[in-house]
Amino acid sequence: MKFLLFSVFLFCLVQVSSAQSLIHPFGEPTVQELNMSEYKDDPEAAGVVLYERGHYQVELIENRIYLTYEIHRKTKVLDASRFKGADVAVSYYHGTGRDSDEKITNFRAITHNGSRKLPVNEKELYHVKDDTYWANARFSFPDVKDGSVLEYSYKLISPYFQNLNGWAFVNYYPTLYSELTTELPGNFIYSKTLYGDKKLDVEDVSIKKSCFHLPGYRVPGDCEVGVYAMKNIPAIEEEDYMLSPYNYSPYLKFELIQAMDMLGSRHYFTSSWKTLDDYFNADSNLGRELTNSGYMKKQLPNEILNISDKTERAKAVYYFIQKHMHWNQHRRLMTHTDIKNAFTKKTGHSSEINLILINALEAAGLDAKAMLIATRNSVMPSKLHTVYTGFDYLIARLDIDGKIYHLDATSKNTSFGLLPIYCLNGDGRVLDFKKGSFWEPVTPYNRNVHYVNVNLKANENGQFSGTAEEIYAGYIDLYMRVQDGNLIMEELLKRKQNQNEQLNLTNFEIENRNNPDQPYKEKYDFTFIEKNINKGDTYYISTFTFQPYINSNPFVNNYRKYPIDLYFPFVNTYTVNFDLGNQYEVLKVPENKTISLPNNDGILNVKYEVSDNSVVMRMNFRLNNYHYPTEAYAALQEFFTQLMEAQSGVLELRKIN
Amino acid sequence: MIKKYVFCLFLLLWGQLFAQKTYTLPEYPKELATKSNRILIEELIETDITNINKISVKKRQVWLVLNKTGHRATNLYEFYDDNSRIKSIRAQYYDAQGNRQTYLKKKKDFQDRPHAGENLYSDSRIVSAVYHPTSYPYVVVFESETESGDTAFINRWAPLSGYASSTYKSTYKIKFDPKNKVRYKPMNFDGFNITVDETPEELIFTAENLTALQYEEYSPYFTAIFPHANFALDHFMLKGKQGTATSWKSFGKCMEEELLGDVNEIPEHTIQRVRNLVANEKTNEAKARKIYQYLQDKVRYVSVQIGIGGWKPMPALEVDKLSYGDCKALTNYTKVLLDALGISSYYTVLYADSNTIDIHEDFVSFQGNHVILGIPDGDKITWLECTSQETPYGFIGSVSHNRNVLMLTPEGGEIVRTKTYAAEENSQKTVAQVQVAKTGKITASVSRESYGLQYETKFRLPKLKAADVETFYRNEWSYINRFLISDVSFDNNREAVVFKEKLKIETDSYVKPVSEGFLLIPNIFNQRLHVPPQIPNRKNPLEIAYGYIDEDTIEIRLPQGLSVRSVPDSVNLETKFGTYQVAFEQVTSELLVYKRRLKIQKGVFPAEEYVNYREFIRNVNRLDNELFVLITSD
Repeated sequence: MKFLLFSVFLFCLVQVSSAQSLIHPFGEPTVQELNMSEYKDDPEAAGVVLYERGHYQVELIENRIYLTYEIHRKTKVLDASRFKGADVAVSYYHGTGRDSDEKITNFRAITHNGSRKLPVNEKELYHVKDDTYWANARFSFPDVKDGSVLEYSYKLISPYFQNLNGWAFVNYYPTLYSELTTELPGNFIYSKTLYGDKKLDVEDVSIKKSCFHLPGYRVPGDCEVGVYAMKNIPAIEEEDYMLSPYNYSPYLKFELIQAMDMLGSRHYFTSSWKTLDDYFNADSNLGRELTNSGYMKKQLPNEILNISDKTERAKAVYYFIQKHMHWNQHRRLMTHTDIKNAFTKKTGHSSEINLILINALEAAGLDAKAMLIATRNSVMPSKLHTVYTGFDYLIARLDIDGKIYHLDATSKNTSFGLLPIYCLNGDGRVLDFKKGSFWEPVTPYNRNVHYVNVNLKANENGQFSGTAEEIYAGYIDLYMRVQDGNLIMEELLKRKQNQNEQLNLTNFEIENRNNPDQPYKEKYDFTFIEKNINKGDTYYISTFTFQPYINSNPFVNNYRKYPIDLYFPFVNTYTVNFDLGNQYEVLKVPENKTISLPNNDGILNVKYEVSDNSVVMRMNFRLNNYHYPTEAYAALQEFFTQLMEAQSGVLELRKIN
Repeated sequence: MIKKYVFCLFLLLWGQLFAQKTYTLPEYPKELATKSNRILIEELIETDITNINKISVKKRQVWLVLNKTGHRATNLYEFYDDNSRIKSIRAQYYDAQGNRQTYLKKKKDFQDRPHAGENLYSDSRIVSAVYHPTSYPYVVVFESETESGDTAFINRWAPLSGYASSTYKSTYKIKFDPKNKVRYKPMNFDGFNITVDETPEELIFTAENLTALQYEEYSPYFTAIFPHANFALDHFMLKGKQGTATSWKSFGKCMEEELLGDVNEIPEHTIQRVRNLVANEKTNEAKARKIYQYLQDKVRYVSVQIGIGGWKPMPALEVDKLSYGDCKALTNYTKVLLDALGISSYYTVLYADSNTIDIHEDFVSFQGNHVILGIPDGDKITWLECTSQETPYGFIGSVSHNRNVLMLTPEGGEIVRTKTYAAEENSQKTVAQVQVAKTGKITASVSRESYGLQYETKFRLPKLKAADVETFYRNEWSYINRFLISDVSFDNNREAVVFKEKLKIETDSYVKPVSEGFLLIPNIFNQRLHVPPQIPNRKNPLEIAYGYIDEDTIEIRLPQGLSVRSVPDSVNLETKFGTYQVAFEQVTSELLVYKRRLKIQKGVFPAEEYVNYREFIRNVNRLDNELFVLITSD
């Protein structure tokens, strides 16, 4: 089976085309590049990447195997006053020992102003160590003006040949030509995934004979030579409410399938999900740490273990671990994990805490598994290949008689079943060592509610006062808890008052502040101060006496490039009840309306009920879907515009006596 | 060899003396925990500066951290650079029962990173404690010993180190050579329990039982509220060179010689070029304008902190070649260019900050974080911000205006005040012609002129991409649900420092339908006034950082079939904080004119005035929402 896969790969290699790598000599930009003064495809761009080439190669340096990355880039400055790319930083791994460090060599940089060349000296490349593991090499191009061509190249030497960096064909500025070439010995086999929907203009994989000589081996190895290039790539953009733009941008990602070491034994990494599962199960730190349910059973109180209802037991375990563990703010996946030590010290990184949770759930006789995900700022892992490096986070996946829960115990504020926002990013891989791992969507918690109930009454002078209750659930509840931050009530009242300037708040109370299992609830009394503007006998009163969950339209731009991701579905249910106290008659209420999004994706319903001595406003706003294709933008924008309209409703009353 | 051995042993014992597995909190007054996130239980800082070549500081702090906010505020760190070192640093963390949880024994247990991340290069690094508490409250005992050759800088003593933080006991001792006495400047000691003991060779400051101060919006900057003391020597060392700070005059002279004396060379061809550039200009101002423009076209800001503790500019020759530099390098370069034309200009040190921070006139020492250039022009001084490629000539803006700065003149240092913008100079004038349609839809042509500090917030608009310009207006008028803008044009007059915007706007969601017609708030373009929050029992003075005037003139034309039912009364509010005039006028049956003028007066007012200020702004806010009722008549 393993052999077969290898053959398939070789077969691909035979399909050789004749395309060639485009190598520009360093230090000699073309006349055309020097004279270019505008870029018609993107007239607002302050610069253009004229040419960039990466060359990745496995090399033997002083008897050790290294991966080397050679980078060459030329950028045109079109508007120096807006150009941001003249100060460059290259980050590299700088650990504790010489053998584990990455190194930058062969640094060259030149500013070209017409035929005038201004080089950056090697000593003007400053190395700044960031923290324990990373350093930055920084330099600034001299004399940057409109028309300058900024050119640099360097070679990064890395001992980490398992992790071949990907290549983004996209930059902050539009790019005319971007190329990656690889020259990798045949015993390193990688899978390749191209993100985005732009096609490669050049894709050429061939075999170079006898390219790699290992000392002590008579027969030199063959290499796979790859050339991948794209032309005219638009600048990368970011919009609000989207997943990582690299999901939609041309980006080539590599994943090591197998490698043969110098002794000729083959190491499989991601040749199949089965191999990877076996690795996780048997070899990895992660797999070993999943077998600690015996230890966790001793740590859990019997009151919890004895709860008969499975869901209640799971909840109790979750809240126990959430309370016991204190997250050190590190999101770690493939680094050292020691859950016994973490449990004893009550603090650990994200995987330690969630592995503790998984073991504890198992100890409580529940079916819990580890699930690997990519967090929201990362590219979603490809499903075309077996992947190992795309994941950066581990959560718990619980199955209670077919009902699936995704859990994370790092935050003190999340309720059972609610993952932090940064975990919401497509599908994750459930590690099932018995039946084999499988993909599963990470669906956001779906009961996200802002519920408000207001009762107002007019006194004999016609002045309104009232009481209000606001209840939060799900992610909206989580948001309130984070905002709350355990501040003193005085501070929270100040904030609430500031959000509702037309009210005078009194008797402000908050319930369940430290109990995420119960909804965060605010209660207050208020008197109206100013905004019920009267014109003679007529009073105009805003029906929204509180700050609604959506208080400005999230979609104001008239253009959308990427799919929209609003994190989670939600519901706003608002009821405002005016008791007119026999002081007023109703002249007009805003129009009732019901507006729906296509495909039952959402509904807005506003209804005013007028009876003898009262007006009741009920609004129900429901967004059922949270991920929308780009084409849905116009409808969503209109939907939210209608919501804003509804929330600015004015009640028109006339004073009777 | 034996000596060395004994020394090691001593270190070992000394280390153990201070490393304890348990800690017992002393009894402290309960009020220190009131509205406080953390308590400085004890602090002892011993500074020794008896040797002009060396300043050594021994520090011990014990914090009782009460909650997460307190934890975030408790940053325990020391700096080091090429001319200073951390001899020892440790932190011991105890739980509420006094049992030690974590012990960071030495420098490598701490996080060591560059101090300023944005710099291209800086040798300054920060070593800080990283701790993840598992319960509150907790206690941390932090101890450090540092040493530096730069006796030019002596850390201030600040017994209260932030809002919602209290102090049980803090002691600061500083030993000095009686022949080179340490000077000190006490700030805001009044009303705090602080004692100062002075002997011929030592100063001892003690503070006890300081309750927590609370943050209040619209307060002066914290340096004007919190007790602290600054220190300086008359004779000091900086990067191996001796300096003197007995008067601003001599100190400035010494600074100019040491910092600028050997970095003022430029190539002959550059001198020739700038001479040619100004050949046709008659006045110094016209020449200086040309030079400033030349600088702005040539250079960009890049921060490189090397040389005399980040105080020495990169040589003018380098700037000439590289066309980049930091504030010091670019200011010095501009000065050198002007010198070549025989125009005097002064390298000027200040605190650039959106808060007003003065160089203390009565305390000669190294102060400031930024450099600008002053060009004398009669009794006035024209200020140039040399790091910006866009700022107009003579415009220094909100981070540098209205403060005491140190100007280095050929006669020596001199403290002068930068330009203070009067309310009248920071104006914004909006004029709009609005057409209302019978459906309630409105179309308007808006033009707006901004001056002074209001110029500063808008003059970069032409540099934005079209989509970002649109976003700017969406935010500016976010209270209008849906609108379209078109025909946007800008005119940035850098000579007169006026920024003009012109655009058209169209919306069908601005007026609110009511039974007889529509409600229309005529103040369409200026509704975003922020109302200060309620602060019961306010303690701090009210500070209004700068004044301004906003004038809005809105002409509203009604169509046939729509008429105004009620015209609101005109109002005139006059307070010590400013004035507000609003007028609603029905000129003809089709034409309504709305005029609004808000003037805010800069100033500092007693705490009890805050309520009145808030009331004034609330009234303005209410009147800003005053409306016309438009009725439909067929």
